[in-house]
Amino acid sequence: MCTVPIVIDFFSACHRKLRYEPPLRRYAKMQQATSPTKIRIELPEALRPLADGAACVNGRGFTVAEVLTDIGHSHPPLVNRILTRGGGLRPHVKLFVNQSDIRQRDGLETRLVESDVLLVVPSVAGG
Amino acid sequence: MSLNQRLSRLREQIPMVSPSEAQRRQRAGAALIDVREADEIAQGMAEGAQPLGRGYLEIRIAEAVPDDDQPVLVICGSSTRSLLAADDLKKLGYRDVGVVEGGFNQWKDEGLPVVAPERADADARQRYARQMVLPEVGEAGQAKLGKARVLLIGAGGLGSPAALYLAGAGVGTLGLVDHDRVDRSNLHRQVLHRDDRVGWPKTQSARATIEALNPRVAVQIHDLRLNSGNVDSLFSGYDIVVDGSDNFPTRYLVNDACLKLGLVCIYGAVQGFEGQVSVFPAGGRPCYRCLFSEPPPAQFAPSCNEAGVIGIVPGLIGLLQAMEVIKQVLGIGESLAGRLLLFDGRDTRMRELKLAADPACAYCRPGAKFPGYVDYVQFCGSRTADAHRAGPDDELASHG
Repeated sequence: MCTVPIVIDFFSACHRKLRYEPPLRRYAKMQQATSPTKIRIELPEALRPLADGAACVNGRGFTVAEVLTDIGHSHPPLVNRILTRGGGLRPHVKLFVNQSDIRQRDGLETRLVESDVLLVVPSVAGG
Repeated sequence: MSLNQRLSRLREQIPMVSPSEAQRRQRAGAALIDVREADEIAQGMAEGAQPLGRGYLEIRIAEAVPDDDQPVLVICGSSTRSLLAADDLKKLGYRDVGVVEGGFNQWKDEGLPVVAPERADADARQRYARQMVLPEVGEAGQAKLGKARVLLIGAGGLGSPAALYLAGAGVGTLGLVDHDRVDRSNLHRQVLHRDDRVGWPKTQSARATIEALNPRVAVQIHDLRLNSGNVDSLFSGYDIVVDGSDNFPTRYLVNDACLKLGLVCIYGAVQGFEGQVSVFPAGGRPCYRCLFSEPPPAQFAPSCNEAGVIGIVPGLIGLLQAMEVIKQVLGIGESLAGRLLLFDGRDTRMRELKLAADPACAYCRPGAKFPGYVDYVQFCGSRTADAHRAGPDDELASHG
């Protein structure tokens, strides 16, 4: 049972600029974090109907997987479009922490700090 | 001071080197700058020389020789204009400037190698004047564009702007693959077509528009569905493929064929207010499968008709694809290979993400044997989610 409140951001919080954070500063923040970090997840247009039309949602967790689990409590269909039933990342979806593919870090176990933005990029076929 | 007095003084100040010495220094790293007029250069120039011309010398030299410590040798017809040009370069801050004694005439007399630059005809010089004046293009770049063979997958939302601007830029051969016919609902974004051509095959409508814009372009139309049985023979006639298809099966087929044949794939995709663009280089790394290893199941892939799109979005993304083609042909700038550009029209925002090759990619990892084509079941509007190995008769939609 999740007791952490989840904030759905409909407005300005979705438009903060992605920032590069030096690894040492990130590491220091990770060491300091004692409670799950609040992370903003930006959604593509295709997935917004699964988040009540919101361009982004906020979740809490120390890692990408934990944040997605947290979001899953309020938006199960949204997370179902990102993760398989087994909890793996779907092959037609990419997750980026700021500008970097989580695959280049530690995948779903990538540790997050409060300034991070999690970006969902689905495959799109239209032409 | 008269011209002769000035030249006499410059001869005392600026080192003169023989053509053979100039060739030796050029091979050792010096820049050889030809300042003759375009008509003279068209008759031939020293091998390895950069034809900047006297008129644009000050404007173009920084591009040609960005380091003012690099030795520069200036050549003209005899060595008069080159002395004046060398003086200008010294005033611009170039420290090591010399003049080729006797100029191009003596270069030829000594039997040193001469090349004949590509020469645009009068129509081309007029038609492409505004881009040929750019140092990145010039006559040589325009000639490269004229020899380029670019295949557009789909004459639709992405293919339309890409085709129009590539034709305008003078890409010599444009191939168009599409099996569809013009529908009125296409016209808000597929600007190759017109209301009075509704019902025409898209390839024929596209050819009529392109030839009206630039009759120099050779338009090759392929009014067919792309499939694993025809993709090899079709792609082998081209250098660059622009993916403007509107369905996942074709996108994977295009990626796999480009990998197999060593072609560059310029990727673009749109939905709603959003678009994606990237370049998958020849040989992959990363390729489309590194980005998305498999297509989504049918229930997650919106119907082509249901998804909808604002016409400007494929317009922008198709133009970015065309820009990548031009850069690729000219060999300039930094390509989008290894980067994914996302456009969000609602907020007018561009975002750049880093793409990395998937070390486990079955198609592009080093040493991987080509696994074969997969013809995914057509599922844009279909209920079938499974993929199956291709038979030669399986067909896929390829239109945009």
